[in-house]
Amino acid sequence: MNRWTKVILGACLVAALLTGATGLFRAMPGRAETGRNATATAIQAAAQLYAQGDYGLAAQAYGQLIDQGYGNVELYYNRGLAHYRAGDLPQALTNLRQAALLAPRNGQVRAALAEIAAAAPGAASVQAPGLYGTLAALSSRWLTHNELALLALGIWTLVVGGLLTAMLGRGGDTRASG
Amino acid sequence: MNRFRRVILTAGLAAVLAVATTVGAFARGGLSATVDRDVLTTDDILTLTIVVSSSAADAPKPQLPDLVGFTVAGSSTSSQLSIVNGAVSSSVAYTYRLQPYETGTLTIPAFTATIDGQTYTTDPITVAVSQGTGAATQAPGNGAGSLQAPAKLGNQDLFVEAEVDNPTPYVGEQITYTFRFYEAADSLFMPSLFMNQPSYSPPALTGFWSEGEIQNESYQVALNGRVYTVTELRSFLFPTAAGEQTIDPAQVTVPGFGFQPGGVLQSEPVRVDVQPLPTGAPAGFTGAVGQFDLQTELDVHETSLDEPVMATVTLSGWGNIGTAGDPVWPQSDGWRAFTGDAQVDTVVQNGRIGGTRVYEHTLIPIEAGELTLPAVAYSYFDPSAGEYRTLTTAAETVAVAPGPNGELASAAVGSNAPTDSAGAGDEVAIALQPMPLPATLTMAKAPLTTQPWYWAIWLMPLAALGTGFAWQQRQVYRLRNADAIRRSQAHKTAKRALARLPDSGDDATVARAGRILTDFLAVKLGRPIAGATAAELTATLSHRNVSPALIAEVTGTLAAMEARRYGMAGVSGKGDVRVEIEGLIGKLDREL
Repeated sequence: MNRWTKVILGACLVAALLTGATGLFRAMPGRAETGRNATATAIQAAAQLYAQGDYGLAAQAYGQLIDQGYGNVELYYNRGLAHYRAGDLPQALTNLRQAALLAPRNGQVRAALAEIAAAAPGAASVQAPGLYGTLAALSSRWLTHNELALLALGIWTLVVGGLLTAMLGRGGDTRASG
Repeated sequence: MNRFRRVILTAGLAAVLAVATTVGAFARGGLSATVDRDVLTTDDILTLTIVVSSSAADAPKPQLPDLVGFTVAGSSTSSQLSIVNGAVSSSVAYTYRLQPYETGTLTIPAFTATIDGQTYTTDPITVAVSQGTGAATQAPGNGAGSLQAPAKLGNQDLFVEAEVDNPTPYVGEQITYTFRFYEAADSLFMPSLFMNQPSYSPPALTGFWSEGEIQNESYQVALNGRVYTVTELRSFLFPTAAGEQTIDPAQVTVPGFGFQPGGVLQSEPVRVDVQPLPTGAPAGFTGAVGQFDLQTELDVHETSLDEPVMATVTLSGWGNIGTAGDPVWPQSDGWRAFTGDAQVDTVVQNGRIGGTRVYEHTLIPIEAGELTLPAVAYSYFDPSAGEYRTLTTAAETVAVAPGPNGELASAAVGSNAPTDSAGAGDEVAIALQPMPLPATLTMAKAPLTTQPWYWAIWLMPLAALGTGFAWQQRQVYRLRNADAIRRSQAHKTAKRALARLPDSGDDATVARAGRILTDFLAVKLGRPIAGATAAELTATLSHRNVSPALIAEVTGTLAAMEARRYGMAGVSGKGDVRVEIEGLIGKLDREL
């Protein structure tokens, strides 16, 4: 075994140990359990407040979950409804629009957003003007931000791949004719 | 005492007992005390139930007075907490199992408790006790009667177990999670004797919706030849996701006492195989699971234009009433509808969760005439039948008289929703229901466009394009300058060819070395050399400004090698040939 082989094996061992230790720390039952319990309790509390008609508090409870970093569309949707039920239409629209961005093809979210936007005077649209705004609105109706980013990347890759193929093909023709 | 007087006395006593027992059954305010019988023998168990009702969440416990003539054979407690429109009320039932050991007329004294700042007192209860035969009987209604000894109980002083009443429920179907804590009554370390009571840690209920307060009951039971005090805690759960769910272990922490260390008792995890709801749900199904009933009631059936009619829709029954979706009020011509929030009242009865959801719709007629309010439909899944059911109320007709000025239609027709924000969206809100949240939430992810690697991937096609373009240009250059490239690489090619020569040093090797030199010259001079004479080669090299000495060396070497090829002497071995040719090629490369 030469020196480089030993160095590489040693580095792999250190990396494996670090990875294992990190995974062990993350998987510590107490840590995971505490988080799960707290989240489940918060979810139940929010839903219970909503069911009891405490919409303002329900909106706060959903907001706390969002502030903790959770990003489920249901959280934004329910918070939007809670704000709406509490009479806070601007906040309701803000949250429902966020839910629509996260799940643009969700019919329930779209319907709620359309209906509440129709009920809110002066809150018709946040669409940017011009062609760009129209395209953005159209794309956001069907695709999430990340889906759009991946689609653009895919189109870019295809276009460049096509160019590359055409260029190399032309090069081949040049060689053949040359 | 003659026979007639005895009959009179007995009848009078029975009447007194009946009246006393009946009177005792009625509560005074928030406190009541009842017994299950008023005539019994010393073999029987008398069940005394004291119910404390309070508007506070923690109802006080009444003090048990001295019960002369009775021994307390067991006790249990059950509590119920309800929240109706934000008002909290609690009800706690204390049940005592009393065994008489004296005969005659025994009196249970009055109970006194201060509830919500007011002192309540029950009436004394009198019962007639006669001598029994010595064969003990079971008290009626004792829940411990059917309890089987757990398989792992053995002879342990302390033991816990957990179970659910239905291990294969449907999503949304109520199940009861029961946790039992067994304490041997004859144990020296009975935790109930400790200053610090054992504390219960409920399990994490991921994948379940918990409704209502935890019900608790304690009783005594004989298992495996020992008497145990069993504390039973029941939670009512509704599965929220299909698939195999696991209720984590529940714990009881037993404090230490004296030299006896404390400890933690943990139940086994409980696995629940939650079945998904069958496909083919009706269109209006919003997740209600249980057994429900739907009723609609109008306060009037005759009104006039713009005079509201109150329609009350009541959904009642057993199941997930707290999270069941709202019945959709159908749109109907001639009416403007405003819906208030649902008033939810949940109850717990015999281990089942149920209650009512009441909706009040304010209906304002905007046309005169015979107007019809369409039927309200509501779909739910009945887990006991395993099928969906749809409830439909009857359509109602309301006679709407013209307005005071004789108008037949209201000016509000076609107008927008009311201006007040609370009612602005009520027509809309009825169709808007919150979404059930998944059991496990996912963390919000930063958009891809904020990730450096995303843009790095964007650059990769460009890099590939650039590499392809460079490669293509190189190929074109090589194609167009093939001779120049060959000339520039002739020295390197010749050296490689020389290095590949075998070590034999025979004539063939010398001939090959000669070909390497002539090939080198051919590439450098751009013309074949193999057939050229020495004079032609000298002329060509002179034309390319090669020094005469080098020309002489080249022609000499070629001549010597040719002589060697034909068996003539004068040329050294193979090693000399290679070095000689290599040196010659180096010199030629510098001058050509």
